Amino acid sequence: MKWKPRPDKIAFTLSSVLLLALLVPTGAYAQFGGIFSAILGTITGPIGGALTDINRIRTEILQTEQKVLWPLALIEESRNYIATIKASYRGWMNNVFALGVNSAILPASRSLESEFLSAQTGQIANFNQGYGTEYGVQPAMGAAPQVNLQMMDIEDATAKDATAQSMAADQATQTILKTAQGIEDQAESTAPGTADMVAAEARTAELASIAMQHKLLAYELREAAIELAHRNAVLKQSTTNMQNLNRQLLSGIGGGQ
Amino acid sequence: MKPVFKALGIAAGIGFLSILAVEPAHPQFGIDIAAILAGLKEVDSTLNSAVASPLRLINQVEQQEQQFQREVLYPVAAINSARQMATSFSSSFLSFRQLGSMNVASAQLPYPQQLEHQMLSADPNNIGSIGSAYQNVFSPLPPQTAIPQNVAYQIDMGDAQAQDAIKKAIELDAFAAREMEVAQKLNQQIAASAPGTAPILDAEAGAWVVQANAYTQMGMAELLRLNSASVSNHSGALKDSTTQMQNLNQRLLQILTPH
Repeated sequence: MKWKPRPDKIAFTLSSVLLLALLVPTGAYAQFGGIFSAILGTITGPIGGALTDINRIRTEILQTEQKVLWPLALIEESRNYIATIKASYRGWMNNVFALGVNSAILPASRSLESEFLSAQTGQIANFNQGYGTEYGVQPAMGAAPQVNLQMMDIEDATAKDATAQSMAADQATQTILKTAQGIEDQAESTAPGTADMVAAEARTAELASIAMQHKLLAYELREAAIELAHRNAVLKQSTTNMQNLNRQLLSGIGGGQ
Repeated sequence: MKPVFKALGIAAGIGFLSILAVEPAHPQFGIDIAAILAGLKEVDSTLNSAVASPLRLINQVEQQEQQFQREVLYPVAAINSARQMATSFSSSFLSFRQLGSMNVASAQLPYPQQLEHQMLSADPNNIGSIGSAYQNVFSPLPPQTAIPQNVAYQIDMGDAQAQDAIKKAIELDAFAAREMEVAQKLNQQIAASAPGTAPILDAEAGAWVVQANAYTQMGMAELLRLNSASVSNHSGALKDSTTQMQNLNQRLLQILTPH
């Protein structure tokens, strides 16, 4: 049987299809609702929660810094502490350091003493001149056995060199003390974050001071070494002389060796 | 009216009504703008409350932190002042080096001058030639036959310790020169440092201070040995004189006693 379409049925079918086509997207409205809900959930949950946590932590860190690590009151207290230390000790220390220790009585001795206590390297030449007056000048060649002349010369030289270095060290001490006081002044006004710069400077000055101590220790070693060498040289001479004397004595009285 | 036209008329009517039932603007996508707008408003409101508000607080805290760092922890004035302090000490460090490297030589005779020159050279290369310079001034070890063996030992040991000390003194002078040089360089570096880099320089200076203290210990140990040598020499001299006196007595007795 041949199907014959009826116009009213066709019209009804077309209208139904169109209506369905227009009605079907309403399912998407529900999908959007889910997406918005998910976005809002993410914003209020992971993002908002994390931001709230960050804010809380940052606030706590700031509070820790301001109340525990670097409280303004304690910073001020530390500065006041330094000011008190300075006021209590600096003047006294400076006065003690400036005390004269000169003790010589005779004019030449007093002059030499004031030169080597001057803490001025400019006085070294005067000291070297005055040294001869106090301890005698080097004898002329031939006035004593050569080895003795040489020992006198090196011993005088060692003593004079060491004293000259001690004068330079005294001068350096004044410089290092000024540096130390400058560092203390800086410490009084520095900030917690810049105190490390001041501490590094203090450590550097300490290194320079130890270097000068090494110079002095080296002179002390040389002086002790020369003293030992002198004793040894005398022993060489005296032993040889004694051996010769013994030989001559025994030979003279017929004892032989 | 033909039934076909009637049916088409009904269909058109239903279709028109259906079209009117949905949003006319975007019917082809089927999107509900009102719903989207409502959703976006909700998102906006949530962003304001859940994101913008905490961010504002974070920003506020960060600003306070920045202000605290700028005004309390790392004030620019304090940084500049510390740098200025280091710069002002430059001349002190220079003068320090000069005071440590002055020429103070004063010997007059050739051999003492040679020994003094080497002793004060601060040059470790001169350590090898100290022995001959020393012997030129203080005499060499006498021949074995010229002196009793025990005395020869004492003399040799004493000369050795004296020379050891002179060599150590040269090393100490050399170390001191390098330490002063490093101190001066560190000071220059501090003058150009930042609060965050100063601890690095402090650590470096600290390492050098520890090293320098080690050299001080080395020097003190050498000094102790020298002093010990002097004490030993006193004892040795007493023993020698006792032995010599006994020998002399015995020989004199032998000579004077009738056979």
